Amino acid sequence: MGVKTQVNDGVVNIYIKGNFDISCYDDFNKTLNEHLDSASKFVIDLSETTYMDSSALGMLLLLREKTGGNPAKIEFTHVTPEVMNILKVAKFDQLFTIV
Amino acid sequence: MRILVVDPSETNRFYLKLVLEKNGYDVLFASNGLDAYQMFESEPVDLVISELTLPFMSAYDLVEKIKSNSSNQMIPVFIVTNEVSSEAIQKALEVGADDFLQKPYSEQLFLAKILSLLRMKQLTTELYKSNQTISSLHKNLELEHRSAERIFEKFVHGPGKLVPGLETHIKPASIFNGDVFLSTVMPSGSVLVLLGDFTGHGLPAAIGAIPVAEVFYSMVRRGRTPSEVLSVINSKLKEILPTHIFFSCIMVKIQPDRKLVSIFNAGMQPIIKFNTLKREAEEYPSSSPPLGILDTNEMSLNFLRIEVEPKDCFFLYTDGIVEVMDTDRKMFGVERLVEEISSRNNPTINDLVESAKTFSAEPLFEDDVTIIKLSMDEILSESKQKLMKSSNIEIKPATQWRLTFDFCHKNIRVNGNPTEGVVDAIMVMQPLISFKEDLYLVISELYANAVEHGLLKLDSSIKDQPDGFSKFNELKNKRLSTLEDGKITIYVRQMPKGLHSGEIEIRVSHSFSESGNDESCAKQLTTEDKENAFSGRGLLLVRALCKSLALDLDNATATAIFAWQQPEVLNEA
Repeated sequence: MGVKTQVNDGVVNIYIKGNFDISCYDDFNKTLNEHLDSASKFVIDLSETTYMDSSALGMLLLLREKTGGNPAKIEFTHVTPEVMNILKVAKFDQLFTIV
Repeated sequence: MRILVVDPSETNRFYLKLVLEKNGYDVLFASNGLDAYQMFESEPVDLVISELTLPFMSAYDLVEKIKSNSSNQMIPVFIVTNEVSSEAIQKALEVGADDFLQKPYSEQLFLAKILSLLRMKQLTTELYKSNQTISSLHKNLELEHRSAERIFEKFVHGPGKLVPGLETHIKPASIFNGDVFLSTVMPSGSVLVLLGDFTGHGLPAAIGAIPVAEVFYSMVRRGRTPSEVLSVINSKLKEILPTHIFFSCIMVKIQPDRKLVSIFNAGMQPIIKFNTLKREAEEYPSSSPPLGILDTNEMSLNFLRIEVEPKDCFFLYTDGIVEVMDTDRKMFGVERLVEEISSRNNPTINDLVESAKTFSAEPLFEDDVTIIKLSMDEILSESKQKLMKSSNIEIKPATQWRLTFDFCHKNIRVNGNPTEGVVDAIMVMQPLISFKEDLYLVISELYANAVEHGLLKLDSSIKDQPDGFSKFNELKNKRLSTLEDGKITIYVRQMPKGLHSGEIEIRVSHSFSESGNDESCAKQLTTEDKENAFSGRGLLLVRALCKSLALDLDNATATAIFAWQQPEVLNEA
């Protein structure tokens, strides 16, 4: 598990490795609060995410709320088929931009 | 700190006394195993130092006895011996001795080992104390949970009615894993079930279940439609739940008389339909985000209607069963669940739970699984009358009355669909809880048709295109926001047909004002407009629900006759 952050020109890239679940909460929340004011966009890289549970979906909703519900401010990239399935079941593809 | 020294040699005892007392320890002595054990039992000691070779009781027995009689605290046993055989020392460690030192030894090492053993004792004591605190807290919490559960059970399951054809497997303490299952017979005689799952576990999930249950049972009792129930649940949850908690759910309504099932899946795994005769399985995936996230007006609470046969059954389940993992951490999954269902002539809930159990890597299968089976044959064979009766609604004698509602373009633009208010007004004139849902559907379809095709001139063939529904809605909202002319009239009249039966005429018409200020909104309806005006698919539904439906193209009026009759079984009762 792990949350890594990289900032390029105001774009905050968040990499989530392994299981995206409640164990990522503290790191995720910290990253969020640190960059919320300065970020032009959050890009969540899910290439190395093996699994996502409902608490991870909850964290994404928190991010959505904090960025004012603007779909252009959050982007998911490199979504694996497994994780895509989870996002689709919850219809999060309607709430977020998936690249 | 008090140390018990056990050594048959007087010289050794004297030496140890000197060393230990010089370093501030209290010292007790014994020259054999038996005396030592008696002393250990009668005097509190913090540490035992013992030679391996002892008369009367062997050092091994002494160690074992000390360890087995000090289970609620740790008394370190330190072997200090002349013995050189490593087997003998190993054996002492195996029976429970904590450390050893072979003679001759350096005094510093000896004292350092004593300090280290006492430190270990200290840590163990602290650990033991905090374990005790945790276990007593846990016991209290368990007690509280049990009381809360009892209250909750009464609340959530109390008003539920006996629903036919229902087989369930619900984790006994289901309320604290966030699963919610509600079922009832609606006043109209339809069966309605709701299976849902809150994010996370524990108290927040359980608390959210309470408003869900309350809204569900109270609104259904008052004859509200499933989508109204869902929209109120959504608004409530949106208001009370923290952002990161939401409610995935499935609602299924079964109309036995029409052999029709309506389903709504918001963020749950696919509903599985299985026909036991044809051995065919079909999946109905989620069509909406879970409840409690979006504002109700941003959600489309559309039910999917499916015609069913008696040999159909439906499986609803929460994540528990599909997330069971085997030894390779592979998940049970939806595909496997469908296979397990399809491989049987008549799959039962128990079969599926057993399969998951066999698959699971956990020797103690965590029974964190909610799975529901709805068998159509049992529900469809119940007569509508009998089901209606079970909801205990008495119908008042029919009277004659009429109501007229006019909605101008401003109302239509600002207030949205007024059906709920119209139906409520009808209920004041003639309380017909059992038929309220059908009346709602009829009026709401006729109204929607008049707005979309009559006033806004939308072409429903748009819906046939890929992505058509959202295009249609987009266009609808765009035209609605600029609607500057037009009016819709809903005229409702009841004609009694006996003491406990009647016909309700519902006439919905649309028109434009003589002085329409927009040229494109012509005063005179063109032929094309007239034909298009009644193209809504909802009209099929209206035809199915009503005794008759007449469309008057010239006057842009749809007239439906809705007939009702108090079920005969009720008269007998």
